[in-house]
Amino acid sequence: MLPAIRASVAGLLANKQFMEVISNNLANLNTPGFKVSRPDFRDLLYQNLTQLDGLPPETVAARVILPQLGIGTGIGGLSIDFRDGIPEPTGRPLDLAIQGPGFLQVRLPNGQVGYTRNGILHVDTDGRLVDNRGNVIEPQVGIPANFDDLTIDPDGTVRVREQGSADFRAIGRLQLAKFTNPNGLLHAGYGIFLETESSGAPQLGNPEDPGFGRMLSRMLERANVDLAQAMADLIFAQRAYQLNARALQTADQMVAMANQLRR
Amino acid sequence: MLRGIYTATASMAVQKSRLDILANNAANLTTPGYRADVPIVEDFRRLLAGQIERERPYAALVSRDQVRSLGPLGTGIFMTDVLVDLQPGPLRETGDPFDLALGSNSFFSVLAGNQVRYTRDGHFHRDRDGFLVTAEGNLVLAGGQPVQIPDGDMVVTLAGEIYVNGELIGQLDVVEMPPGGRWDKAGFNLFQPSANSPAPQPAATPNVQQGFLELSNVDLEFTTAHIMSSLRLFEAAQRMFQMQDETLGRAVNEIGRFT
Repeated sequence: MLPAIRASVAGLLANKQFMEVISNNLANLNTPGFKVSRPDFRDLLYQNLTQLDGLPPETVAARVILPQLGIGTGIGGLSIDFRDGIPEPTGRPLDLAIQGPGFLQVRLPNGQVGYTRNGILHVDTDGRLVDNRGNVIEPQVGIPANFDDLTIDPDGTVRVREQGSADFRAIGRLQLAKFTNPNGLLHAGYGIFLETESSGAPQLGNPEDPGFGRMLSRMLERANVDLAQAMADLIFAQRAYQLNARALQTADQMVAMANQLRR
Repeated sequence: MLRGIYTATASMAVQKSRLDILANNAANLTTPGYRADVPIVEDFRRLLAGQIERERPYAALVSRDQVRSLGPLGTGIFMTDVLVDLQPGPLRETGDPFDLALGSNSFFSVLAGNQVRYTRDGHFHRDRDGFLVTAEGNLVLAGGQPVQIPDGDMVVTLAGEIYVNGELIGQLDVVEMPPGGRWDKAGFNLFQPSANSPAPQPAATPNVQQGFLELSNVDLEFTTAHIMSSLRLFEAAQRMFQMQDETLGRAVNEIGRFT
């Protein structure tokens, strides 16, 4: 009886995690630059139903087909979907959406470089461009204190208009970083991703270089969560959870009945 | 009478094994490319029941003409095999160019460790060196070799040819089992040919669908119904066992008792 119980419990756990992942996706529906993730389900190892102890393996292989029994399911990892979200105009000069596979680079408090798609930028007291947690954007762009308006060109050039002036003046250029395997990035929270061994090293380039994408000023990239898909997944996960619960309950009833065989 | 107890026991054992397999199918309802296991239940050899028409049957050997045939007698059921249901599962559109689904009964070839294994789970991506890998990190084979995908727009044709920016990079090794072949499951969404099965052959019509993922082919309603029936059949066999146990008890303790 144990295999049925074990498989059902594995199914319950996996589908609970599935629901948690969907909940997290839904909760971030309004997070700019959020990337939807999906669990990678896989079946687990199989054991042979027939025991053939003591027979040499050649004899077994030649004569007998061994029926197999699986022991449930598991989640191998999470796949993050790095496809673009829809850029949404906000009108705020320091909002920035990236179209294409590139990431902004930010210097984290511990000195590491993080990678983000969240383009809500600010100017800190030192006149540096920072993200919404105060991490400095790399390469650094110095913003004059008396700036009146700011715009970022699709190729990453930052232009400011100083007070009393009529023209925009280029003061620096933003860079983008991209990865061959963005799926290997480590999600460190707050929309920050970290480089890992499996993501490989970042390739740096300028916006509008082939394969890096471009920058859209006064816009924010919306989360790429598909609400209808997330709801459909949620219903499916719940149904799968119920089915596994039913299998577990049935296994329990069967054991109880076996125990009552001799009253 | 004892024969009936064994028949009931065999039936209980079969329903238990059926539930084990159904529970595993249920657990893999959300596993992409999962193929359901189908238990095959057969009856034991039927015995020819006969009644011996002789006054003292135990005295000597009985010859054929003294036996009147009463017809066949079943002696229960047992699970002879577990087959893999190769029916394609439903496709889900993801729009991700690295998600590939197979429309036919064919399988992708991948390298797991140093061994070639086969999978229907086409949720691929590129590793840090640009090689096409499965979600588990196994290298996907094209022309017997791992295939490196350069940056650019990837298009995969129905035949499994990979084009990046219009340039042919390779053709995915999509295989199918020749008639008489048999797949074993290796776990982690991988399959391998059974020990005495012929090797898989290149598929005649790979039918690779880009931007789709194949879901599990486990049917929720069907599985629910079978889980319910396994329990009720187990219950029936349990009752049958108890009735025969009671009858045996009477035979032993009450027949021939003088009150």
